[in-house]
Amino acid sequence: MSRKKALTAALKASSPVFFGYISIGFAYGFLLVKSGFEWYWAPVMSLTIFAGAAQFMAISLINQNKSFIEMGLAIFLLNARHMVYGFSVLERYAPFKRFKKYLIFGLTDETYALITTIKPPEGADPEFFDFCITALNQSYWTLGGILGALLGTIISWNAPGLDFALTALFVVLMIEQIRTLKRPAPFLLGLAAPVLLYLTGLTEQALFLGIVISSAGCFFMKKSGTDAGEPETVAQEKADV
Amino acid sequence: MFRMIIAIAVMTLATQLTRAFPFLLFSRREPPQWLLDGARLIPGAVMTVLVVTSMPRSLDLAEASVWIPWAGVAAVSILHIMFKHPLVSIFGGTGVYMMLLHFFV
Repeated sequence: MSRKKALTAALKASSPVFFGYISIGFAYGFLLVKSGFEWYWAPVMSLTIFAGAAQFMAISLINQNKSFIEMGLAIFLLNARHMVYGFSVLERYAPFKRFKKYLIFGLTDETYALITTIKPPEGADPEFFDFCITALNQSYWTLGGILGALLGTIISWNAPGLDFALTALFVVLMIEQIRTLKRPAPFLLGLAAPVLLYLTGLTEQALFLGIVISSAGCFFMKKSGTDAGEPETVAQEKADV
Repeated sequence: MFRMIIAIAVMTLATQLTRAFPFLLFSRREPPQWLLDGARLIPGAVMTVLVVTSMPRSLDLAEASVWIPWAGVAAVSILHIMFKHPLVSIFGGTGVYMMLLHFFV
């Protein structure tokens, strides 16, 4: 009963990711096939690497015959932002046992965003809820890749602009964070960091360095009295655990 | 085939190193409070960076490739503030974006 409740809530919570992952996954599978790979490499990479931007990059790294060392380093730097994600869920994942390894394996941008924004439903096992979110997201991503790879071999129309769904998802999650945190500092820093990097000519590194700088900056922000929503959220999470 | 399998294994390992990092360091000891306090603010900052970096770098709003994404973001924001429903915001906004792209590019 509790599991059914968790799965239902996870299906609902992950529905925006469904559309984002299906469409971006579709584009990924499509590009992969057009780059000369067999369709099945799309699901193989989605089940192993399981990182959106990295999988797009993997296509060109393999096609450019880069060395394994270059491949590893490029993917490591591209995904370095995931290092900071873990800290935000350390507390939440700490008591978990059964699915913990898989939850860490599947901590993508979107999974992280959902996990840090959405609370498990009351009465449901939080570990199973987080597992459902992660596994559903990976299945959406893998399914999108398979569909894109298969249809990419027969259909030439590539739905121009559909990839905007991912940007839209980031916007929605940002607004949700604004509602949760109720303080401007993290958002102003998140805006200022990439803009300053553009101005200094570090355009290519703006995503990576922007995340590093703004995440680091969060540790220097004062505990604000205006964090009205926070203690409640934390208390709720602890109660559920 | 062999090269593909090694390449995928290397890239899987590289990704997993980043994701497992905090858990490898703090699985046995408690992370300090300052770390947890800061980490709570990170999602807001990171989401903002992701939004900003997925936008065009130019502010030349006469260009269709510049104003259309901003119009899309405006549409998503307005829909989300009005209806608070992620699907409405994401698909309404993406629909607006795709239509603008179709008619103005």
